[in-house]
Amino acid sequence: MFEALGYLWFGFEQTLTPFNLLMVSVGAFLGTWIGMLPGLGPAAGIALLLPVTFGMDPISAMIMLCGIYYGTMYGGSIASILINTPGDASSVMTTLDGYPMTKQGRGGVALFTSAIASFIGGTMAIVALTLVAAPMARFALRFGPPEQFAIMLLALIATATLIQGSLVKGLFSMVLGLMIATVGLDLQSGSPRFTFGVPELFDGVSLIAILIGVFAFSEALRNLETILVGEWTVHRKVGRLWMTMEDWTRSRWPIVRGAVIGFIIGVFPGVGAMVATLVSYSVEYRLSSRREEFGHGAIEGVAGPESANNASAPGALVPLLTLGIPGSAATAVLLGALMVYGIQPGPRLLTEHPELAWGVIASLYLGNIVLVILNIPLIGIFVRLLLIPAPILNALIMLLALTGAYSLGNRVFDIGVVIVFGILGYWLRRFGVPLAPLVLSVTLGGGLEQSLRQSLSLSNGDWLVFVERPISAILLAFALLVVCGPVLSSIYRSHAMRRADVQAVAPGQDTPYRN
Amino acid sequence: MLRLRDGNVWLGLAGCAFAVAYLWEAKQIIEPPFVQGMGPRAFPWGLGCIFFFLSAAVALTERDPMRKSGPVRVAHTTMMAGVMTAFACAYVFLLPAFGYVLASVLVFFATAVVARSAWGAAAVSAIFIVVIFYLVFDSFLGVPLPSPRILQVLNV
Repeated sequence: MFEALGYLWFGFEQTLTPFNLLMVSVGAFLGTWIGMLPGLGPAAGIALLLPVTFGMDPISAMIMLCGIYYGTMYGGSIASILINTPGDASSVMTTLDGYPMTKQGRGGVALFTSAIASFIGGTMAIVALTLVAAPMARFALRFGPPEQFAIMLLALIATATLIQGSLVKGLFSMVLGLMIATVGLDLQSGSPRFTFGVPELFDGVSLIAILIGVFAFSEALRNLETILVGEWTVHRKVGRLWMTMEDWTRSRWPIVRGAVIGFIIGVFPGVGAMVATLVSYSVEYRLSSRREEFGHGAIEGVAGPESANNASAPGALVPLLTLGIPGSAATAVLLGALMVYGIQPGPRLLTEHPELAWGVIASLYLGNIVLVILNIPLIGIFVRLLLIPAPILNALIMLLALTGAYSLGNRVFDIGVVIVFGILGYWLRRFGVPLAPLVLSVTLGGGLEQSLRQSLSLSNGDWLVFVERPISAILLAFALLVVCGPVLSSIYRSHAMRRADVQAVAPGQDTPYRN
Repeated sequence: MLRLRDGNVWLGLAGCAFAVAYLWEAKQIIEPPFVQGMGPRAFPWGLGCIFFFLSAAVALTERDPMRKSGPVRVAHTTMMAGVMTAFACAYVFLLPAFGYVLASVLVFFATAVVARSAWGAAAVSAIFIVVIFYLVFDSFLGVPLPSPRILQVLNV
């Protein structure tokens, strides 16, 4: 406990410089604006603004990116509440009651509730992150290449299977990402792989260009469709801003429960904020005595998921800072940013770069405070951005994506990468293929292959190395369970349904299909 | 039997074709003579095989969510998305030739007009936003955005 407080104090010493305070404020401010843009969630927001940090030292850059992370999460809620357009999947639950509140003229209250819930939920989760980061990193130091391979595989499979939608498509997206990650010179032998003689591909495909393409550019294409079919709507009435005592009484326990749910779920790689908000919403629904209000503007339906959403962000930072495993698409971009600065996240990050790791944790406290101070007075102004005509807003998103890509390496090649992956992302979404497994696989693919090959090299090619070591054996068993679980449960369900059908129709009686 | 009107079949077939091409290219990777453990070819080879089977599973077992939207609306909006992508591709060639400001204004204007913006509003927004972007990226962040080729030739 005291050890954690000592580390945190050290983190505040790193963060509390005028420049870093400015950066966390600018990050939270810009992030909120970017997050409000329909279709741009935390991952796309961080990817778009990453080039802004290139001239900074790593600590200031990461502090700014964390500010952007928090800001985009809150900004996404604004778009969800006001125009029923979630910035990303994690804001979807907020639309269920936030948008009906806007239609009732209570949009201001919904925005205020969202800001307060985000602040309290986020702060509670950061306290938890402070307490568990150091013990978790010490445990992670026992990890060798087999354990690293096993946990990365578990994280990828968890992402591919636990997200909503088809299991096959989740795995399809995951393996596609791993294939993209194999492009470039092989780090161990120096053999070129899938480079086709193009020098720009020798270092692999730019991760940030892929992220901008898959998230921002493909979103611009999707937004165009929404505009053309006339589904882009704006409600201009915001109404009263402050919560009443009754609003607060109804919101306080959903906020606390949301924080606990969000942090715990956020820690598991690949589960993410979407599941956290979903669980929080369903818990509030089950516990509420006013169930009939849910879906029609219940304030608990905004408070709980918003708290869970922001609490999942520090939760997702636990595996990133201690194991080097991103827990979500947004933390995958943060991982990419650390790699751009030549820093390898993992168990040694807290010992080799404590100023960075604890600086980031301290900046989360500051980012949370800055966010609430900045945003509550600015809610009325933020709403004006949504009044920009949709075609102009969409063109702005596309130009921002293309300019951001060029600024990565001052070369046109990266713009081409953005376009190619934008088209890929657009079509994959059209066919219901989730993009998060693809992005996480591209990010982790290199590390996964290296740890696999190092493990086999250490064991002279003996694959039993993965099951002889207890931690890797347990992790691989979990991975197997995660893949087989949904398949077995669907087989069991269909078997149970068949049995129920047979019992419902007694022998000798007519079935509903028989005349 | 394959449901040829279902987009998932085409997604699965495209995945299979990609897997075959990937495996063919993986075969060309040069293995070092003495490899302890796993060489640079084995991992991609394994991925290609898994991807082939997953693509086949997509083609044979999945159903297309797109079909709910109706064919006419999807075709029109998809065509417009294609036009917007064509503008982005044109940007790749326009950027070195015309420089950042002119190329960006043209592409911004065209993209806004495709989304049914009024011409005047699109033109004014294009100039205003591109100038702001230029100031932020070039002047504030120090990213050397390209100038028109004619100016480079004239050494201006």
